[in-house]
Amino acid sequence: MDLLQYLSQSNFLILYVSILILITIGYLLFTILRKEQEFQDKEQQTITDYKKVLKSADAQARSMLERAADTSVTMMTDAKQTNEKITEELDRALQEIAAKELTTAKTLSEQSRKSYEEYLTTIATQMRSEQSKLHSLTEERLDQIFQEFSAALKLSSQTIEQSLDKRMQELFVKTQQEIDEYKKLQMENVAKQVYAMVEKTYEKVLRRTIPETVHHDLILQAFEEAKSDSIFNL
Amino acid sequence: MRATFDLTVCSDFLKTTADVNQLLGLLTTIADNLYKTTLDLEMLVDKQAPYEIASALKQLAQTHAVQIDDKTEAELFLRHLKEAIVSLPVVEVTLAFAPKRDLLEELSDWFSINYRTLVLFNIKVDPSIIAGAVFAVNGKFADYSLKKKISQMKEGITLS
Repeated sequence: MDLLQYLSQSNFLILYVSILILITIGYLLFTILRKEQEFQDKEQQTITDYKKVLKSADAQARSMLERAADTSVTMMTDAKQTNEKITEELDRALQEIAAKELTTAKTLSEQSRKSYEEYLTTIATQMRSEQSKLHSLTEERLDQIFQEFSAALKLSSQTIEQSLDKRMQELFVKTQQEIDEYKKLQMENVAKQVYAMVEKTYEKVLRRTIPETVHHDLILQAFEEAKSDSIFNL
Repeated sequence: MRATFDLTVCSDFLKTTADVNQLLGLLTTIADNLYKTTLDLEMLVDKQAPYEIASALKQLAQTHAVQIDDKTEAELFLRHLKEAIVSLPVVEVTLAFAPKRDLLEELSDWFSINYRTLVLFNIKVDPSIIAGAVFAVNGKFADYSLKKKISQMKEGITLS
């Protein structure tokens, strides 16, 4: 009984817990779904706002471009007009400057010419003066130099004459010696040639005229002389 | 056997280096034929060499008591004989002309008388020496030619 009672109480407890769990899960699911819906709504709102911003920005950009185009056209027109004006003014200014420069150049040229003529006149005067001085000085100096040169030349001629005499004497002695040596050498050469000719003549004549007996005698005589000179050490 | 070789018996036909070459050739031929035939040394020498040379060789073999029928001894004899011939003294003589046999004999005799030995002459001919002789012996050179004498006379004249 107790056991049955216990079991009925236990089933009731389980049922109660299960219901509690289901309620909790349902609550959680409801919460998640609500959060999801909120997020989607928020996102939709953001997209809508973004589109609005883009649209507004596009409108502003178009407006700016149109204004910029208008402004540039206006500026180009103004610039063209300004440019034409500047060109005209520049031409006029340049013409004025050129006229002024021309006048200045003419003035300066005239002044320079005058100064140069004066300068040349001064130089010519100075040169004439210097030339005159130099002429007189040169004549005096030349006279002096000629005198000195004449004196030196006279002295030098005497020295050269003496030196030449001495040199000639030396050369004469040397030449005489060379001639003597040459004579001696030539005489020796002639003597050698004569002796060579005599020798050849001797050879030719003797070779043909020596009799056989004399040859034998001379050979034996050679043997005897060689023996006397101890050539045969056998 | 080699030391006692007396080659004076060969003096009649052994006077120049040309004679030596001829004799050495003959001895080589005899030695070569020793074992090729049944002939003994004496018979081979008689067959191969001229009479004068054969006589001298036989005399030398007899003097040295060579057994002529012993081929080994004969070969040894021939070899020693060749060595003795090669070791003979040589005198190089330059003459103005090619000498005749008489003159060579006379010169050989002169050496035999004066030096009591057999000498071989290596004869050279140079007509430019005119006459006389020029010797070259054991590295010594001596000029006794007429050309040299004339040259000396010329030098004497030049110096004076």
